[in-house]
Order: sequence, then C-alpha cells, then structure tokens
Amino acid sequence: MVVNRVERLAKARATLMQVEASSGIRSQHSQSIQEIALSPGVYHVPFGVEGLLCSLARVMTSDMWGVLVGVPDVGWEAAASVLGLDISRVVTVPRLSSGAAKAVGTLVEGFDAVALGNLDFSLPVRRSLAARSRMMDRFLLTSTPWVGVSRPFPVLMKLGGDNVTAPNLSVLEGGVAV
Amino acid sequence: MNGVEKQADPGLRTTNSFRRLSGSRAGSSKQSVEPNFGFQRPRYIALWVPNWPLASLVARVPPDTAAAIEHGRRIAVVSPRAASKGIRVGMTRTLAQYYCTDLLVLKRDEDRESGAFESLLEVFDSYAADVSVVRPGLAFAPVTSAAKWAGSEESLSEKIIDDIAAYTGAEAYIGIGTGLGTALLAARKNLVVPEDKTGEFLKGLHLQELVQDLPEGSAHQVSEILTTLLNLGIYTGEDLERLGSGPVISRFGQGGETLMRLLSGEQPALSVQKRSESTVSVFLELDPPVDQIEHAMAAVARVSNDLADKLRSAGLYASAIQVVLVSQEGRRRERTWTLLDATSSSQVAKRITWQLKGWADAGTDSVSEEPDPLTSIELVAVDPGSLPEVDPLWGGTRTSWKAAQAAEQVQSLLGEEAVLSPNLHGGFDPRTRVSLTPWGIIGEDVAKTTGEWEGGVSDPPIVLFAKPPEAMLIGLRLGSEHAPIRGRLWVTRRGALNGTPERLMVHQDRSELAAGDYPITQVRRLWIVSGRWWKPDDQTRGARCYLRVSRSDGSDLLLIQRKGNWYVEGVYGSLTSVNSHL
Repeated sequence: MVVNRVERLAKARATLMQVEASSGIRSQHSQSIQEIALSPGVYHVPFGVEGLLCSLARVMTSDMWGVLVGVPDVGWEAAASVLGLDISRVVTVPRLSSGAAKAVGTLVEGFDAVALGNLDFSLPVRRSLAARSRMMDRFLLTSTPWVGVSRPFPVLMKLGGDNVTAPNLSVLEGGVAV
Repeated sequence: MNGVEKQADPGLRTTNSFRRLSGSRAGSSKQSVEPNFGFQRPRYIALWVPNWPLASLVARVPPDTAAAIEHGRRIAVVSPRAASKGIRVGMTRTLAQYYCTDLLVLKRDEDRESGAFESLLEVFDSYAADVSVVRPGLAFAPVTSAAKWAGSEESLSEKIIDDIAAYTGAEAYIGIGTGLGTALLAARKNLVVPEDKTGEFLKGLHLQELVQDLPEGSAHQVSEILTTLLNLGIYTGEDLERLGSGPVISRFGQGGETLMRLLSGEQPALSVQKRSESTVSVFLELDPPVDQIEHAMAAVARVSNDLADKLRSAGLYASAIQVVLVSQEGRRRERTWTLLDATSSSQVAKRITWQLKGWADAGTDSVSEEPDPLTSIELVAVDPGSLPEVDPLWGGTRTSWKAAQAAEQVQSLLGEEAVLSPNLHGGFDPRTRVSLTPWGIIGEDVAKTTGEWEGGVSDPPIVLFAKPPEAMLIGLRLGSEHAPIRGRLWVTRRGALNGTPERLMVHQDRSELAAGDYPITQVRRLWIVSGRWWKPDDQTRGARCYLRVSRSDGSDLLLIQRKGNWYVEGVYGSLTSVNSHL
C-alpha cells in the first residue's frame, strides 16, 4: 500500500503521541493547547464515541474523575492504551431510561467531567444542566450540539487548519490526516 | 499468640485464654486517673468472633470438619481443619477440593450470619449497655460501668466469654482498650490493654492490622497510602510514628490523618466534627404491616435513600445509625450499627436487613411469623457532623469522595448495576480483557495482563459494540477444483479465509456504524482464538476468529466469526488505523 506524505506525517504524529502517552510526558505544544482552550463549560464534541473519549482524556487531569453517560459501545482498552485515558478514575452509566435528567444532574455535582452520549434532553433541562456545570466548574461534553447552550470543543475546532495543533486529534475522521 | 493462631483451636471452649498486656491493672482506680492524652478518653470493650462466617455455621458443620465458605468463585473463609489440609483463602473451589476431597464448601450468606450473631449480642447486651454492631462478628460497647458491675475488666471479659460459649457454643474474643480503635484491635488478640500501655500496643502493630476495621470507603483510600508506605519501608505503627503526624497528613491528606488517628487508638470513622445537637432521622410506617423480610425490601430501600438524602442535603455525614423496628404488637427492636457511611444507602439498607434477619431468627419475636408483623422502621443518624476538610498535598481525596457520593446516589436512583467501573485484565480479545463491575464492588481476582495471552487480538478498537451487529463478508472465493466464484466468505478449519474479501454487508444499524454495504480494501490481520472449545455454547469465550479489515470510506473494522456467522465487534479509531501501518 502506498503511503503518501500526509499519511506519513499523521503516522509520525501518532507515534509521538503514543510515546508521550506511554511515558507520561506531554509535548510543550499540546500543553499550551490545554492551557489556552480547556476551561470548564459545556462543549459539543463530534466524531461519536471516539470524539467523546478523546475530549475526556484531554480535559481530565490526574486528580479528576470522569463519567460517561449513555455511551454503551466503549472500547476501554483502546481508550486507556491509545488515548491515554485514566480509566481507574472513570465510571460509566451505559444506559439511562427513567430519571435521566436527575441522574445526570447528580453526576455533574460529583464528577469533574461528564461526557454524554445521545440523550434526548429538553431545552430547559439542558440549560439547567449547563448552569449547574458552570456553577461547579465542570466539563460537560455532549455528542450533539445543544443549540444555544454548548460550544464546539476548542481543540477539535483547530482541525482542518494549516497548523494542526492537537496531534492526537488530527486524524479523527476517515483515517485521513488533516 | 494472636487472633490468627487462635483460629487453629476452634469453638466450643468453656474456659477462656483471655490475657492482659503487662502493665498497670486495667480498671483500677490508679489507671483510670492517668490519661496519656491530656483528657479522659473512654474505654471500650469489643467482642470479636474469629471466622464468624464459618462460626455462624457451627450447628451445620460438625466439629473437626474441613469446611470452607465460598464467595464468588474463590474460597473466602477456611476452618482450621481445612487449613491444616492446605486449603487457603483465595483458592478456587476446584483446587481446594483437589487438595481435600472431603472438603465441605458452603456459600456465604450475610443475612444468616447476622441472624446467628443476634444470639451472641443478647449475651453481650446482658453485660454492657449501648452495644453497637460493626458487622456480624464484631461489636463493642463502653466498658466503664459494666466493669464496675462485674468487679473488674478482666472479670467482665471472662464472664462474657464463658456465657457466650455456654449459651451459643461460639468462641468469642474480648478486647478492652482506651479508644475504640484500641479496643477493636485488642479483641483480635484477646487482650486487655491498660491505658498506659495503649501507645506501646498500637506501635507494635503492623500497618495492615491497624486499618482492618476501617469502613469500605476509608479502607480503599488508605490502602493506596499503605502501598506507598510499605514501599518506603514503613511497616509498623512505630515506623509511622517516627515520620510524625505533620509530614504524614500534609502529604497524604485525609488518608494520612486517618492513619495517625488509628495510631492514637481512635477510630477515625467516628470522629466527624459535630455540628449541632439536631438529629437527622426518618420514619416509615408500613401499611399494611409486613410479615416477611422479602416484602420489606422496598421499604428498607426507601428509608435508606431518605436518610441519605436528608444527610446530603444538610451537608452532613454520620458513621453510625440507630435502627428501630416496631412490630404490630408493639415489640420494639433497637440496634446501633456503626463504622459505616450513613450517606450510602446501600450500606444502611444492608444493616437494616441484617437486623430484620436477626429478629426473624430470634424465635418468638419473629417478624416472619404471622402473629406479629413489622409495622414501622425508624432510622436515626447518630451524631451527624460535617466532614473534615483535609485535602492531600497532591489533591484528590475530596474529589474522589464527591465522585463516590454522586455514583452512590445514582445507584440508589437507578440500581446498583447502573453505575459501572471498567477494569482491564488479561484475555485473548478486547471484550474479555475488560470487565465492568458495579461501582463500589471490589472486583474478584482477575487474570494478569501479562503471561499466557500470546496470539490474542493485539489491536483494540476504540468502539466495542455492546451488541455486535450481524454482518456478511462477501468476496471472491478461492477453489482448487473450480473457477473462483463470488460469494460468502468464512475462516476455514485450517485457519485461513476461503477467499479475498470485497464487501462487508452490515445488517443492523448502530450509532457508530450504519447498516449498509461497505467496500473492503484490505485485510489487515486474522487472529484465531480456540477459546473454550469444550464449551461450544459459550458466546463470549468459545472458539472464534477475529479479522481486521480496512474500508475505503471509513475507519477499520474488527470482525468476529462465531459458529460460522460474522459480526462487527468494533470500530477502530482513525488514529489506531494509522498506528496499524507502523
């Protein structure tokens, strides 16, 4: 299989990121991204499960706890080994039916980062959850945009630019480096 | 002599081997006016029955029988006779029965254990007031007035041990010490620890012994610190004391403070900061009255949740509860349960169930018998207080506590199985290498990640379908006798694909992969896992094949073939797709 220049660049970045993740270090470049972009709030993250896991790994520092809600199809091994997510500080509520809003509200109070799958909340509930997460300095990550409530996840916004600044998020879609 | 050694000499003892740590006479007037800590600290008497899960079976297990209690798939408690035959805690049942063919293996039943313990508590109640129960097999009470009545602490201990042996046939250990922590630890060694010997006694203990009575949450927190301390060569209370409380608390935060309090003979779980004199209680009247424990479970869950909600909303914490049960005929059963987290509805519910079971087993007062059903349950949080606000130097404890509280609340709302913790361990494929256990449940021993997993699936996908969608692999089939034809492909008995894949038809929609026809550009790798070939019906661990394929318009997929059918096991991240080229 012919590997073109773009793929080689993506491979190199991926290797570097993997080495960083496995050795516990992080490049100065990616650190600066975190400092600039990642303040608590409500963010919507594209790319489904992988996007949520990437963003969760990005926002969680060593003393934080995260929870994945309504995301049953998680490859935990890859999340830990490839994305560097500390799964010993992550719990999951794979399925929610009744009492979803109350449960998520409770989780926002206790966990530093809450990643939500496809949960169908009404606008008032979304606003209420957003207000609570802002008040308590929490990251609320949603897999779909909450119109008027959420903003795009800042690191992912840099995708597609000439200067790709988030090495572990640079090849999220379709296996094509951007 | 210690508690472990004593287990080799099981029950039915009519004389006791109770002893006193050398020092001034416990209970003497001289001793009681010489506090070491600048203020008068209460002395406690603790009752402990070694191997209670097994001792509670005394009626069912003939003396000198090799018996063990099984918990999960492993041996959890071993009788002395079984231990002498080489059976050890942690062994699998199969291995234990291989070593000892006549081993009697019984299932653990906490409800039965608590019911049986009630008869010992009645003896204890007859000597001491304000008896509190930590768990079946361990209880305590203030000792001062009881010792005065009995003449001395030694005499009190002897009487209790003899009465318990006479009335119940159980072998009980008694410990008396200054501070609850000291008393509980002294009970393990069947000792009276005089007040002026408290420090010496505690400093001589191994750190693992010091923390054995901590409630689950605190124990988990402290176990991480213990690992660090043991690695640093800090093994005993004396070693820890040399470090000094300042450095320990500043580096390890609340966990460090817990350790230092244990070292001073306190039981930190009881040392919350008392905020006010107000009580937090909940009351539930059962209408109609309930005559079977199983029918009371909904009410038990409700009062437990109500108490937890009340405490949380007031920002309070309590490590002891009083449970009051009242029957239709006005009989009242009160019991104080301690060393627990009253904001945890599951822990509270467990204690109420134990008490109900104890009452039901008590005979004439039985709530399970028709004449006198249960009419009300009242819960009172004993001495509620605000939590100490100590964070470790490197953060974490407070956030962990908040996360634990939130997870428990959601469990009480949605059920225990709703909140899960992922754990990685050994296995041949991404699904069997991960287990999800309910939050708060400590997983059983799992396979190590290193070792005998050669040939397993080495590339884990980022999306692993909980319910893998069915699929069909289609391509140019190879054949030696006929010309190649296009059709369904599979992995043959020889461990090779019988053709070249061209398309994958996915039959079911999933959020991460829509149903449809996907062109295949490349087969990356094939893994064959023979698995438990002797269990052909085992869906997860039976014989199976994994195939990683690349699509022209998306990420790689991990396919699994089971019994001739293909499923999509997972979807690789785009990042992992790139990694696979490396």
